[in-house]
Amino acid sequence: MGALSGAMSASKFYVQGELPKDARRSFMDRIQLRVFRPLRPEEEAEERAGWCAVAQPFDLELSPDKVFNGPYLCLGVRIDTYRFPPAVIHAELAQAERALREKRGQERLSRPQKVEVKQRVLSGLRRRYMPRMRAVDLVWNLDRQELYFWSQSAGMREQLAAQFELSFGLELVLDSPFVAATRVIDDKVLGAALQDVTLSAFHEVTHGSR
Amino acid sequence: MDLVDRIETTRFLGSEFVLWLWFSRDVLDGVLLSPTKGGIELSLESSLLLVDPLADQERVNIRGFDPLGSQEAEDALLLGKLPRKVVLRLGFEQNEWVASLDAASFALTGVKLPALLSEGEEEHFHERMRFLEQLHDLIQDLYRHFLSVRLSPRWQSGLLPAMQRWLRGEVMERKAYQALHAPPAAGQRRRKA
Repeated sequence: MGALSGAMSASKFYVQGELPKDARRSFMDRIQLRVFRPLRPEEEAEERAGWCAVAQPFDLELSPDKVFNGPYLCLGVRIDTYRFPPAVIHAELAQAERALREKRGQERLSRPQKVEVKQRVLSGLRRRYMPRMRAVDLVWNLDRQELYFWSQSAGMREQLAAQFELSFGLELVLDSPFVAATRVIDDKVLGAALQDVTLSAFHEVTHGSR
Repeated sequence: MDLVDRIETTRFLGSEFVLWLWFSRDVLDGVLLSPTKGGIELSLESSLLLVDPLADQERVNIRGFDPLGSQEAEDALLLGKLPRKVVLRLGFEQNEWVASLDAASFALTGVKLPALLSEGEEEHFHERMRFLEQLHDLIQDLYRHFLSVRLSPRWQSGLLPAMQRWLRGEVMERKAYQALHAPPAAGQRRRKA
């Protein structure tokens, strides 16, 4: 499921802010700065987000012909996360701490020793487990300043908004009845009424002209 | 009140909009007239979630052939519940879309686009996006039409009472509906402003 094929279940955002003059070149440079970099076991990072090619999470060689398509800017947001089962972490930690206590002849480990053991255990787990990968397509119509993101997850939308703002210096506003109203109303009187509108009771009977 | 608060406290507008679609479908026999786009065929089908806007846990979920025509839906509306999720089928210029609309967030899920006719990968993508944007435009256009009455004095004086009577089985005359939804004359608009 994504921008290129399958069912359409995309969140709609409005992009706020002015585009730079040479938008495509400027955006391409900015995208390159935040292309996804795979996690490496020796690093301490447990999660990383970045751009990838639309519908191709393993394609990290982004070029204008992959990113721009007519009025659209197309990307994938890729987020890799190391997630280990808590029971595995506890078991590995207990075993490593026991081994160190026996080796050093200590009854208890100091705080720095515990921290070091934990880092070593997590590093070992990162070598044995693959990170969980999530990738979601986005298509941004640069003419309309509207962006579609193929996820309804609040967490993924937050990740996108953060990544987007860092990359492009523009803000994303998620569609909603209020936001849509501010976009479609072009009358000052109606705009003022929108600020004060309250829920109507349909199940009651009020009197009005027929 | 800041923007985030206003977004949260006006989510009911989405439910009122869906109720207005439902009402308009009944009055206009399924073809709504958008001021800018013309006739838009509308049916609401297969699945309906009604929620009490003042008590979110009070919900009625109805599935089946005609959930909007069911006694459960009628009872729920008379108890103050409003539509939260509905499956829309929209027809415009010989194209047809089906989508589930979440009234509180305006999210469209499970969107079925009209049949794609283009063959190349790039053309296929452009056609998909064009149809997706067109669907959002159609809904936005109907929403604009709804708000033009909802936020005007015509709401309290005409449309709200008509919708209240409709909930009790009285369908509005088509001419009266059209008069209520006609844009006010330029002079009238200036006087209000």
